[in-house]
Amino acid sequence: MTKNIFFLVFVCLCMICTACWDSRELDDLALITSLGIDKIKDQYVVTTQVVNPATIASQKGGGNQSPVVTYKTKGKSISEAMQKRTTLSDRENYTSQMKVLVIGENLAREGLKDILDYFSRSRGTEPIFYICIARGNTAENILEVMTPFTQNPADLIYASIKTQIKTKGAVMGSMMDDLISNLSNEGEEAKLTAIELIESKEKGEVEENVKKIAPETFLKISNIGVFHRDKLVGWLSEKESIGLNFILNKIEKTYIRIFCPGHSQKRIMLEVLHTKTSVKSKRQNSHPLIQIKVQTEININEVQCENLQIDNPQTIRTLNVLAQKEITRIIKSVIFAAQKKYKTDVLEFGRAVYRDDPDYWMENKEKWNQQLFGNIPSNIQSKVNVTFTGIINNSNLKKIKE
Amino acid sequence: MSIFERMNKGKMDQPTNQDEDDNKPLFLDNNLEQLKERIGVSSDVIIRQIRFGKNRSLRAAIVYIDGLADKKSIQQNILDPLMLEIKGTELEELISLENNPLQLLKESILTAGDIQDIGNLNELFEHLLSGYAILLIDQSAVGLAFGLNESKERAVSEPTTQTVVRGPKEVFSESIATNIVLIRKKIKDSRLQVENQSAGKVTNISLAIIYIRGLVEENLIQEIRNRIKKIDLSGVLEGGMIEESIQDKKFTPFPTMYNSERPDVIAAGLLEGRVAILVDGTPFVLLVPAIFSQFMQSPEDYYQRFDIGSIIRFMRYIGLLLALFGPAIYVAITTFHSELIPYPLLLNLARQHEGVPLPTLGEALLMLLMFEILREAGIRMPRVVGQAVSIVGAVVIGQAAVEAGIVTAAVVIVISGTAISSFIIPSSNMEIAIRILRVIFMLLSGIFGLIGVMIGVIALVLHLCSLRSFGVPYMTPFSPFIKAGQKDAFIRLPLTPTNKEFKE
Repeated sequence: MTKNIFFLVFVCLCMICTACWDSRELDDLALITSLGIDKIKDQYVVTTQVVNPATIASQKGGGNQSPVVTYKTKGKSISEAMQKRTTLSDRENYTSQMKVLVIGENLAREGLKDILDYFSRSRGTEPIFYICIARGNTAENILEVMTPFTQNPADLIYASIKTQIKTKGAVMGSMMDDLISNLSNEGEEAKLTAIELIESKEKGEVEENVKKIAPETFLKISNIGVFHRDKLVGWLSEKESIGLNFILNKIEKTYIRIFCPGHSQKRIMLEVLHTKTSVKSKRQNSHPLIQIKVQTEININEVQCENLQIDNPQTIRTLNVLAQKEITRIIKSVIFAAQKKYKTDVLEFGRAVYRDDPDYWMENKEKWNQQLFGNIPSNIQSKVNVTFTGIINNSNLKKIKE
Repeated sequence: MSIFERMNKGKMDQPTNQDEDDNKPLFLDNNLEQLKERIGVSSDVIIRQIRFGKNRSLRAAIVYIDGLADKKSIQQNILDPLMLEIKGTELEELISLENNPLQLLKESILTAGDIQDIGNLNELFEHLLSGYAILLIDQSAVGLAFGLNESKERAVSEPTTQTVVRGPKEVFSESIATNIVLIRKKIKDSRLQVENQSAGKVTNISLAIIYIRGLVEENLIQEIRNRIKKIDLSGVLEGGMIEESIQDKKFTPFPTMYNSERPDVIAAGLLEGRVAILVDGTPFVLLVPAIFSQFMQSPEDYYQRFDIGSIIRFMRYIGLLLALFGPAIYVAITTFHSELIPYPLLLNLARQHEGVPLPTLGEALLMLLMFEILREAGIRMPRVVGQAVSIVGAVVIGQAAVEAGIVTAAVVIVISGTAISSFIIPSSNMEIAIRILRVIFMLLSGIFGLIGVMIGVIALVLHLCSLRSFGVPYMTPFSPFIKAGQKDAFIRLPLTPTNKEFKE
């Protein structure tokens, strides 16, 4: 009997002593799907985008209501601005399903440190949303664009980043926890995807935008912004972004362009698949040498040259060499950008040294960013295999009659 | 109280054989009087007095209950031989008080197959009320009981509670004799033992304990005998009452005795070394000891190929989990852990919940209550009004309820899915246990979220593992883990030659 009572008490304690629980009905929640944060003077401007479920999910259509509602609130801190939002609607903030955080470029250049604490501390927020930087714009403007296909800009940005990772490799799928670990780990620097507004913003704000066959406003999600510590220092070009992903072994698929052998006008497009990169650090003359080995498979995607004998193994060998050179060039371009232009170790070379040569790292980590990183030599080996030439072998162009 | 007094006590000297006078008290009359006293006014007890033997010197009475004993058989097996066939034969001359007529009658004259001696009034009633015909002879200490029951019983029919697509289509009936025969037909082995017992002070219902000698521990049978002897109920009408009286005394919603109306299931149980308890008057036969996995098995698992059987049985376990946790997890996730719901679904759920007054737990409980009421109504109501219930049921738990804004469509789907899942559990008493626990889990989840569900699961597992059925841990072969037992637990592996050895 005592045992039973003890057990009951134990069970009750289990239920009461667990940390956080609170029941909330779904229709009491403001489902925040995206947040935009800008800073004007010393105030944060938080743009909160809340879904209106009635319009999004209903088969019958939600009438003339907008699918998302955007609130704009100001405050000295993020949470203060967030709290102010609740005064504007009947529902409490719910950020667990948040998909995108857009940060204005100005704030990013000023530093992200102050806003990160809120997202890592808040128990209602899962750190698994993408973060992008509004390139040359404010987050507020980005989130006010009506987008085709997906009615909710957050959905569009989220899906678009995912698609880009799978098809192009010029974006960085950084989520909040990646960002935090980038900022806190030794030998790494943060990098975030840029989001850009194409064409005039005024037209994008209205629903008319999506009613046209050729919308006048787009959100372009491409390229990567590099950070030093928590401050944005610059943007990588598309090629450099792809190069960065090559080094970080994050390419799922991308395209490279080479010239036809012996031509300087006609080109061949190659589709890069199954890429595997290893970055190792090796001591050479008492200094590290970074060795980058890229191994990849390639499909021929498009051929402009008429006379290329693709069915000839020799040609494939030539293409292999050309593609290797191109990949090396791409990787070199980003190494140059990181080492010379922006002087920030987004390439995670420091990480490689830390891993492979910890003694050296412990001695020199203070000097790494200022003095060493910019001059670390690197050695790139790429190994390419053209495995598939597409559905046809030689180009049909030759057969086309003049 | 022994009523048949010994012949040589006190009244031996009284002349009896030539006595035609009814005024003089005779042994037979004494007995009949006492009989009538006990019977009271029951008009269905028939007492037929006859005279036979040498010079019609022997008085006797045949007592039987109209309808229980077969009149025709009584005539053929008792009356005819005594009164007609014997006439004029030398046997008739031998029958007299001096020659111990009882022995002679039993051996040479009466043609009934089942003749038993009865020595006192209690025995007499026991037999009489079971449908025996009783022959009482004057001045004889022992009466005879003839097993000439007239069987008014249902024919062996098709199963209604444990149906299969493939497999035998016969079920037990209400007659214990038929049921024993059905089992004997399945197991043609002399080691099959049938022990008779009875229970109920007033109903005095016959029970039979059936087991295969050598497969069952003697302790187990002794334990069952003891527990049955200890039953202290005046009325036992069905196996369920026996079950309640003899099962392990522990408060639990789970059945610790298995029951089946299928002879093949019971026979399989006997072959596994279990003990069957048959109760007269019910087609449901009890099987002990019972373990959890038994309640998740269908006889068809063994009649279909093993791969099909395995898949279906595995599906049944999934159904069990859905039936137990479906609504609880839905309630917990939607009200406590909405971050676990995929975003598009969350939007849909949120939209559906707009304008619904009840909290999710309330909705789920309401729907569940409606379903349980509907289900109970479906079982109890007269067959003729069956259609009305299904029509109304579709309205109450369905689109109309959603459109009226009482519940969300998602809850209707969850509850309906749960209901269907619970029907996949082959054993109805296990299903009832699951139904009860489902509500408990829903309340836990509505108050404490998934943490509550988790704590409930822990408590449930502890409880299940602490259960025993006649000394056998309920969760065998999972806990204690028995590797060989896994072949017939979650899945059914191919039938292997039996390696269970008989201990003779």
